[in-house]
Amino acid sequence: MSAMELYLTLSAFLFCLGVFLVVTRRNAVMALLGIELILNAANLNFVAFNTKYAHGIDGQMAALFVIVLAAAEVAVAFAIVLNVYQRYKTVNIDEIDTLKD
Amino acid sequence: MTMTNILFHAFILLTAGAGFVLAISRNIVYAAFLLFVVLLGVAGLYIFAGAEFLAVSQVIVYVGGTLIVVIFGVMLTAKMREMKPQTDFVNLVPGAMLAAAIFMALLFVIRESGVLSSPGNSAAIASDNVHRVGVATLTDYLLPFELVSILLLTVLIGAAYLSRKTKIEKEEQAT
Repeated sequence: MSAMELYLTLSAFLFCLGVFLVVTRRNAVMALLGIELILNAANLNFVAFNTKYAHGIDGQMAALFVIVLAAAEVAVAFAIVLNVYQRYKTVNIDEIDTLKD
Repeated sequence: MTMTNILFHAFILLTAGAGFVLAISRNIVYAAFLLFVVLLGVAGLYIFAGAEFLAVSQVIVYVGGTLIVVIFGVMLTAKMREMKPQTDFVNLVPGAMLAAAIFMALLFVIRESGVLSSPGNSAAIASDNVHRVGVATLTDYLLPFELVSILLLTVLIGAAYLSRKTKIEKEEQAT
């Protein structure tokens, strides 16, 4: 397999693992780990396609901004998770189903 | 097979393997540390793709920042008294089928779309990656760069606001 094919296959694999984590886990923290995997899969694709155009740098810049957004997303998401945990004493996604108590 | 080639395949295997164990692991703490391995593996692959600056950013931002936050989240939300930071699977079979179906579909698209055979204009990978990223950030990508800095400030304030204690909670704790 060529390097490109390996990159794309690994990226698809990581994306599917992320989807699997988000779908099958009750714990909000695990679902967030799945989202991180999905974002990394997307990043890997950006960087892999950038190797085809060695004089451009657009793919790498897009990946860089995705990293920043992922960091921001994680900070806010965990602030929300901690808040939810303080209120409901659980981070089980299935049990957190009330808008107002 | 050259040394570089062997290392490249080793990183691919490391990332895929750690990701798979992460997906089936029941212990959240192990899962958080396996994410660490996956992120490092991806950073290694960035270097093979000629994106050195991105690899370093990945290590600093993800491994140094995001992962610490994740581990804090795990530690603060796991019920430590029960000593079981475990998590169950739900929808195991549908989830696995969904993931497998998406993977097959993506593989089909990768094979059939002609992406692999299209030549692109790949010259040798340029060696002045960091220089070019710096120039691009302050020329072509100046507006996104500024927007991202505003976003980060917003996130900083937002996260601090969300995770603060309200007055009522403080009074409840005092009594």
